[in-house]
Amino acid sequence: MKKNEHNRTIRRRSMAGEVIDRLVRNKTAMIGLLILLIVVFSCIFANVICPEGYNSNDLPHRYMSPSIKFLFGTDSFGRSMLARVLYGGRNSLLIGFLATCLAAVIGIALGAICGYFGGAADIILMRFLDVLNAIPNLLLAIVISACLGTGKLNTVLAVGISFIPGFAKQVRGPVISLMGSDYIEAARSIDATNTRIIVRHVLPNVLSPLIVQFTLTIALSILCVSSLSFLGLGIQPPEPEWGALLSAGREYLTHYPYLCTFPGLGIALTVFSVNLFGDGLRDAIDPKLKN
Amino acid sequence: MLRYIGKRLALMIPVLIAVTLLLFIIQAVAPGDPAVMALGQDASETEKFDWKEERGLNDPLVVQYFNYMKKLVCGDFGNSYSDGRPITQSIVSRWPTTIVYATVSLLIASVFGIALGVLSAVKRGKFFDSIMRVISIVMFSMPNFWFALLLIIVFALDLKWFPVSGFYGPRYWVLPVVALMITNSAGILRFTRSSMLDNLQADYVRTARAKGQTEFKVIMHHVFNNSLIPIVTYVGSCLASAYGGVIVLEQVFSIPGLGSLLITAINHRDWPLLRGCVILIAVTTAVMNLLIDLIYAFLDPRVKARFKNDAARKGKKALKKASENA
Repeated sequence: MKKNEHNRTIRRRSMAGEVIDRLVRNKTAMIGLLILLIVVFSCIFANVICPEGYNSNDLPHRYMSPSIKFLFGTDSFGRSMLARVLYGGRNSLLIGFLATCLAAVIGIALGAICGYFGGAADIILMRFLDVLNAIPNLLLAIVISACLGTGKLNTVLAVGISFIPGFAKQVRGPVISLMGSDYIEAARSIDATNTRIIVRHVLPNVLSPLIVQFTLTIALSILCVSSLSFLGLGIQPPEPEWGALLSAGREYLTHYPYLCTFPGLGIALTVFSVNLFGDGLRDAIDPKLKN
Repeated sequence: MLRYIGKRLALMIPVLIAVTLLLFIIQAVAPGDPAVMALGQDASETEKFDWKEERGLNDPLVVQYFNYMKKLVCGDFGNSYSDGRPITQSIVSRWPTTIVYATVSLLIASVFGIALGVLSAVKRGKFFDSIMRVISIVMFSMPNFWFALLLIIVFALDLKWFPVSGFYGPRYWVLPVVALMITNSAGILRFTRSSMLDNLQADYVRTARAKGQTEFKVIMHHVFNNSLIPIVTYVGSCLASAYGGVIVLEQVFSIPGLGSLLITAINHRDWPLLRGCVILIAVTTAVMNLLIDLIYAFLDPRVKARFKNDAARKGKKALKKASENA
């Protein structure tokens, strides 16, 4: 019985537990998380909130200003902007998230390979990443998107590829500094395979700063996706997406400015909440950094 | 020092070769036929063939690539597909606008960002600091093209203080500069604040205070000078990316800069023009990074000393050789 209690106190002090403890106590991070959850859930349940869908024309009710009946107003086809913003949010959030996942998986794998094996693999891969890095992020995404064409999957690829170098560089340095440590040596001495050493021993030790990088990259990639769609690449109308909605609303800026207000508010709120949460996460993971 | 610069410039060459190669591969797999874009949908096959023949587009990709590289080495970016003008000419007519626009915006952004960041760090935990933190994170999170649209709605359409778009006189500059400035100054503020706070806890600050230095001197001479390197890096990277065309904002305000040239190139499948712009941007980014590293040498006496020692050693060697020869 006593032994059990002892175990429990030890478990409570696990690193993840402590991080979560600190995170929960950080008010701004929790506000960020709350806003983010509200945005995410209202987009997920868009079909419940707006059962009419994002593409149902209602020509008599064109250009209605925001009111109780049309919370965000209606556009040039009488489509409810609330529905378009919520369904658009589904696309923006999903593409931003998937692109970040893609960048993280490939970037972490490349970075770990570079750091772990060193030598020729390191030189070749790092030069390749230098090439990607030589072109600014958004421009790279634009060029890739122009090459692949528009659409959801292609946008995920375009944005994802442009964020790979960031993750790879973030992983490579710490992996190199780990290479001399005893437990890697120990794992090698019991004849563990390279894959096993990387996955079981190297990656868990470099992952915590990456969680923060992952969170903050989600914010950047949502911005990148909407910039692409705003420029006419990325998601194409009538499919809604926050950037595409802004681009469409721009034509009616003079008379119906609310068409631009709400999609932009969606992007700003999401990015803001992700940044708040990411900052809190960084402080929670490494309290030494907290200023 | 010169040798270091030379080495860095030489290292750019393989990267640039790879960038051109990447662009050629992209061009090969991209959908959309430039001939159709230039001649229209109803051009006949022979017309399209002739058009491509004239520009060497019927050759194998490898041949096209080597022909292009041969010209590029001589500083010839080729001619645009859509208007036949030399690419260099289009870039020369567009790029200065972007450079002036980016420099002005970032100068103002740095002044505001650094000043407010220093104040925010000094007044850490106080009301001013909290307000600045909230404002900076809100501004930092705001997509700048949306912020630009809001500025247009309020200051151009409602109040009619400034024109909606275009880039002719100082009045046209205000909104674009503010739009680019706000997001960047928020980033600079955040960076300055955290860099200052890192240094505020350092031992030499305690020493400076202990010997009775005035608080102003402690902050400006000791803390600020030591915090400058990360700030310079950040401002430099912002500037580098802005020189590469403030792509989205240039579209919003119809500014005839490099960014809008690039979008035109993509929409018309004008590959030589796109290639020219991207190569220019890659070179600019690399040169800016080099400049940032050189500025370190001026900011950090340790880095400067290393350069000087190298130079002195080389100078002595040269002197020795000269005296031996004599």
